[in-house]
Amino acid sequence: MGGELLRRMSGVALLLMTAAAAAADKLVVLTSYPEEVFAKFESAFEREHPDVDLDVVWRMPHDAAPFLRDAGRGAVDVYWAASYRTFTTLAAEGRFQPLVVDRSQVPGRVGPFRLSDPENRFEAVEMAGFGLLSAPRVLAVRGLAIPTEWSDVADPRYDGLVVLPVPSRVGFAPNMIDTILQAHGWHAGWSLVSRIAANAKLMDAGSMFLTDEIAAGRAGVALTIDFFARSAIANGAPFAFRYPSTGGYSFAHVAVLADAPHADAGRKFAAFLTSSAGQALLGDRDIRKLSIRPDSYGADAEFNPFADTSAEPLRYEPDRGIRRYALINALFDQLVTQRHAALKAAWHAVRQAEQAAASTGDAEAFAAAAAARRTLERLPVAAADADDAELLAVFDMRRRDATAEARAKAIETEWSDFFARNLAEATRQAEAVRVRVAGR
Amino acid sequence: MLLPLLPCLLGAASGDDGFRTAVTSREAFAQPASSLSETDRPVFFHGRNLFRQVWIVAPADDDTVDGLGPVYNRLSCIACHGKNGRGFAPAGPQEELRAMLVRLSVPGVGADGGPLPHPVYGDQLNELAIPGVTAEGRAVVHYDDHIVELAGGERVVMRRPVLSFRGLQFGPLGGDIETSARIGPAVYGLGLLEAVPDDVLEARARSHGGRVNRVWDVARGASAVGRFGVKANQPTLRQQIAAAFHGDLGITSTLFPAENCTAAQVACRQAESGGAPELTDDQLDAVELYLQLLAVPDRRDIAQPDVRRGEALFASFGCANCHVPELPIADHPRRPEIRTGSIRPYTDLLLHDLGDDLADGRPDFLASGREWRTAPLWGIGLAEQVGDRVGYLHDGRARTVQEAILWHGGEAEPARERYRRADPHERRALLRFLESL
Ligand code: HEC
Ligand code: HEC
Repeated sequence: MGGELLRRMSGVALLLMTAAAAAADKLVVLTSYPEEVFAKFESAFEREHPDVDLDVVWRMPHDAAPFLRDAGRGAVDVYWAASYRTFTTLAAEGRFQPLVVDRSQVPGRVGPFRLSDPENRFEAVEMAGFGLLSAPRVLAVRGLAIPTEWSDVADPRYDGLVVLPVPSRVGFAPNMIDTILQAHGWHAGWSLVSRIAANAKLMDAGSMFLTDEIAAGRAGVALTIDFFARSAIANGAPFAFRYPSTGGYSFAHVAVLADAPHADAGRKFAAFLTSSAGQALLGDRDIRKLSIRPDSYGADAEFNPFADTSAEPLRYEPDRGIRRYALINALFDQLVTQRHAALKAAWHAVRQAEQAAASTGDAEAFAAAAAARRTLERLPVAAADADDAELLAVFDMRRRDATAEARAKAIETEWSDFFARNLAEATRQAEAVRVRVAGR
Repeated sequence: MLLPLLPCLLGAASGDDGFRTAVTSREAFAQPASSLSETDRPVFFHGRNLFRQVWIVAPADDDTVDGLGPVYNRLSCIACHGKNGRGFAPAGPQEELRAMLVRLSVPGVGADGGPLPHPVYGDQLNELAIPGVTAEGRAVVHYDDHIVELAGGERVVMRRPVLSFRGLQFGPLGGDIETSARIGPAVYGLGLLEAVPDDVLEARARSHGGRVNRVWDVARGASAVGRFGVKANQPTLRQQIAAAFHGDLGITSTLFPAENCTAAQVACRQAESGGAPELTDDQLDAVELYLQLLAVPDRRDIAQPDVRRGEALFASFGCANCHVPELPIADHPRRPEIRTGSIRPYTDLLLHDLGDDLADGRPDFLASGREWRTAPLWGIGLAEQVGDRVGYLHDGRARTVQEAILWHGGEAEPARERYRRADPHERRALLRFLESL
């Protein structure tokens, strides 16, 4: 406030300047966690290591790598965030130094799921699971139970009650959608996503949170990541959260930079995060992440990923995921975001046709309704192409490369025509079934 | 088409009718007024996100939320106003200031009539800095304990904060330094406080005592009645917010366009800016609307006999002379949600001399070193439920509401003594009443 005044007093100011006092051991941590999360770790770490002054520098995940390559170079000790992609990229660039981890306590995996870098350049510090957040009171009004599986919310009875985040706009959503796709398979997975979308209101990166929509009674169930839900519940919201059997995890890591100016302090911080004391903070009501240490889970744990007893263990390949997020986001936008009303209408028509056919037992009507559904479920990208390196590169590079962007745009136009045509066709086929049944 | 009409109907409610929330969870202080209109709803949530935003060092890809520092105290508003509630003081010298800041000045009057900033450190100690820039140093809080005895024999340990500094990077502060440690107050109901007409405050000061602070309104370039801040040192919510962005986060705005670096802070002055200004007017509008339209918690348990007895004691002890239960408000000039009526904030928004024990010795416009704005008590009963850690009074020295009462001196000494001498049942009833707020 007194800036102007101060500027005029430089004479006095310079006289008062003295040599800097000896600094305590410093530590600079780059993160993208929200205040409520990092502040708790910051205080607890400083309590355990009073000799270290911790400074937090904040960046969005996508902006962390450019920062570490440029302005933050040699100034940051630790990178700590939920961005598997950034960690793999920076590790490949040789920007991390190896960590020493006690694998008897910190396994670095859950069942078949690998969480940490096999070369120990970055280590998992927490996990979060995808699932269904619901407001039992809102659902009860429609006589609906708390949904537990993704397919539950694809049921027409949930029409209008579901909130679905748009993966190209909401940070955690690409991983969640890909979890569904990897678990159910490319075709069946997209069909499920498409049917859920038909019941849903879409949520983009606007200012409202999924939990706001549910809290305001504007929706009854949201596809989300567990900590939003579990922390809202811990803070008193009347919600329920369920992990579907084909759910999956996202995880966060820590790494010490190769050129860390305070590498010792950095290693202390990394060790603190994976220690029992650090992991205990994850249970805080404002954090509610899952521990990466099996010994953190008591017998009374609400959910223990290490004790997952489902017959079908989670199958998810995170590296495959990060390669194809950009493609999946683009495809989702063409199928869902760009034509949400038409998609809803098409599913509505197909479902009505199926009901009509079922009510008559007419085999031909049945077959015609099934054909309409198949049309609606058609995809412009075959399962094999979804892992095609060349195609994936086009979408992955589009933000950085004009040629890739032009190519991606052209492909999107093809997809757009494809979906427009098939939605119209499916709707027409479904109408024909209804007319046929009505005319009997 | 019925739904969009509903909020308009509610908007016709007067006073705090549309501003009460029954939510008692940890989100109790983060609820929109029920009169929030559909048009204002997205702005409200945008403001909420900015209030919770962790600000970024410039240059950054997210150029809408960059410009942190060069020197600053915390990375976000929510750091000091956790869950929109109050902050807390450090437990002792081993702990950093997490939800607290220290204002600085030297004797004299600044250009705007306010405190005269320290020539090198400015008007607030900025404990943190972006990489490459030197932070100013750290404040350290020690406590001296003493015991107060209440009627019936209850003994209360009171901790008096003693401030010191370490790692001062631009030399000592000097012998005539004035300091004031303050925790962040709760931020709900502020739109309603803004709607209390100036003349109501002036009339109240004439009839019941207390003083109106007169401060500098930067936007109007004129003197104005002060009502925000612990010494009523800010005239409007907008200016209070812009000053917080500037002083606490190092974010410039049209109201405070210059970075908060002093002449001696060379690296600070040379650091990259996040835009001129860093906070756009739209962003300032959104945070302002958000804080104007946060609802106030409904009272609870009001029919319980001890609560009602406590309410009567609150009046008979003289607490209500300053913590005035009811104030009139007028239509808010820019917020149709806020309409003429009355509110129940338990404050007169006036300055009172609370004695030497609470004094900071740092005058702020008309407020002397012994004067403080009567703290609003609405919602105080939920403070400990909402916050992980909370403190009471301007510097968070009081760990409980009872300690806060026992620190009252000066004009409030008679009221404090009535409390201290009251029998334990009466004291409990009074505390029960405060819990019901
Ligand atoms: C470092 C801690 C800290 C941070 C960060 C902080 N505040 Fe504050 N806030 C305070 C303190 C202390 C006060 C009391 C100030 C005074 O009286 O001088 C305060 C007062 C306020 C008030 C006035 C409340 C009242 O009852 O009069 C508002 C509004 C406010 N802050 C908003 C904000 C906003 C918006 C931000 C983010 C830009 C913010 N604060 C960041 C500590 C903080
Ligand atoms: C002369 C005016 C005056 C009287 C009388 C008075 N108070 Fe206060 N009260 C204040 C002021 C001014 C503050 C703020 C002091 C500070 O921040 O250090 C305050 C602060 C408080 C606080 C702390 C609020 C917070 O947000 O931290 C509580 C609780 C409180 N008063 C309760 C009472 C009770 C109970 C009584 C009667 C026994 C009472 N007061 C009498 C002026 C008064």
